[in-house]
Amino acid sequence: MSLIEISIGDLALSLGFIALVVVLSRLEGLAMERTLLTGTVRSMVQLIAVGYVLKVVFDLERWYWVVLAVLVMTMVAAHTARKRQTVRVPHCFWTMAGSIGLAAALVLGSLVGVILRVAPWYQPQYLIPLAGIILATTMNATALSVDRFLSEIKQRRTLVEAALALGAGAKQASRASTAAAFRAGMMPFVNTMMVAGIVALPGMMTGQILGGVAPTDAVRYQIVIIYGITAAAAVSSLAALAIVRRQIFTRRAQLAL
Amino acid sequence: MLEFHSTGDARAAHVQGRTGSVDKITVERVSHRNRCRTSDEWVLRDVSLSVRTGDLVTIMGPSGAGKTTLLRLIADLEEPTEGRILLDGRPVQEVPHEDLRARVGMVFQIPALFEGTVADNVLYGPRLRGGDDRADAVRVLERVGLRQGLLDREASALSVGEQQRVALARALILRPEILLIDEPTSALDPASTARVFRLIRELNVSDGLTVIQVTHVVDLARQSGGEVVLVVGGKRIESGPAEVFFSNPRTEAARAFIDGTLE
Repeated sequence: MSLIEISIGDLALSLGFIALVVVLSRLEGLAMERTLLTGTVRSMVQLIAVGYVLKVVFDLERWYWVVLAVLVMTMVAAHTARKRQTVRVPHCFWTMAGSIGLAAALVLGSLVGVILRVAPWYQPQYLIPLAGIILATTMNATALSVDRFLSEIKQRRTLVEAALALGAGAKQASRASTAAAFRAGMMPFVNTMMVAGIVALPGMMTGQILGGVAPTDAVRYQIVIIYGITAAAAVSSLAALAIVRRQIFTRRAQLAL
Repeated sequence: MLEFHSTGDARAAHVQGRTGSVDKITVERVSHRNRCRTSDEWVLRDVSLSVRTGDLVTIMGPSGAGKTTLLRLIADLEEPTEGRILLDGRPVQEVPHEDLRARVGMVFQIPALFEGTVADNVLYGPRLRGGDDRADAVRVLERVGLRQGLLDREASALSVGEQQRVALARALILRPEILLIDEPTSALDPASTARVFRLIRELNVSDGLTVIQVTHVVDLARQSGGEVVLVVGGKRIESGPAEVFFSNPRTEAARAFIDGTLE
């Protein structure tokens, strides 16, 4: 079974979907046309560019090009996670990059090295899409939990300082905020696991099935991925929270936010 | 005992009988600017203060005068931008903070009780230090006038007045040398307010606890007795024994504060 190819003409045809929305927006006076067109152009340009870049990386099949691609993806993830923060803390980009990078490396390494045993390990066909899924979900979880943590601390300020005044350290004093933040970051994954395959077929599985992989094989990949990203999200969130906690509390256990 | 930098006569009257005692807390030319604020305003400007063991000091002033900040600096919840704070003659930054937090107790404007039972709250400090003595919890609970039966009640189920007394008990169980109290009655009805103020006075008089409390309510400061310090706009304006201050204020600002006409 082989994939049906999409020609340039077919691609142009798909713009009909957007045209439909533009017409609807016009008729109903919803003023969505401009934003919609920007999004349409951006997605097309970005995806085509990425397609070419990935093609080069796939063709070269050199470990350093693959690693570089994953690094760039990590930096973009860190940048996006930082932009989503409503409370500013110093060096947020590096906090995000470090936490997301650490967690992704850990999980990606285990997937490629232990579970899938990809040989050679840098095969871009495996490494790039796996890295993409792991980074995207880890980025979401980390951004959510750090943002929630800082707003919780601000909200519970007096409670946190009451604990500090009784002799609690930064970790103890912020325990409730950490728990709430971690839960906020992880809930999307837990919810995804609960409904996986029932409400929607996960993206990677959909892609594999379209690519001709038997559904029974595709679900195995999906299961491995779901467990992997759950671990990555947890490790990254906790790492980022630990770093941020050190930033907002002084050595003398004072809250400096 | 307050040391009056500007008024030697009042000081002389109050040093009697306590000569030789070392300052418990010394605030030495402290100025403070809030880090997070965008404006460049000083919250405190060149404030000095001496508190001796057994003193009851009431820091008064209108809202926004810097009273709470002064208390927070003494509690080492923040560090002053300029100047220093000494505990028994030693800069607080040199006292290990775990130590300092047991020696200096703090009660906030709102009870700020943790989730859980009254016992969870009262025993929070001891548990951090590896202790968990319910008898001790009962003792402090009785000291603040609460029944020991409340120990296993959810803290959030108590009235605000009771909650504030739990907050006091939570600080007292660590046997602090100094208790800092920030407007403890701002959320209370008049009856509870009177009870809490009576309790604070009792802790000072009967138990010999050194107390520094903050209030913007003139009558409460007057009834507390002890020493008063008037802070306005981040500066120490006037201070002295309560009976002298209220019967014979020396500054215009003090008179205005007492009359309730201070802007």
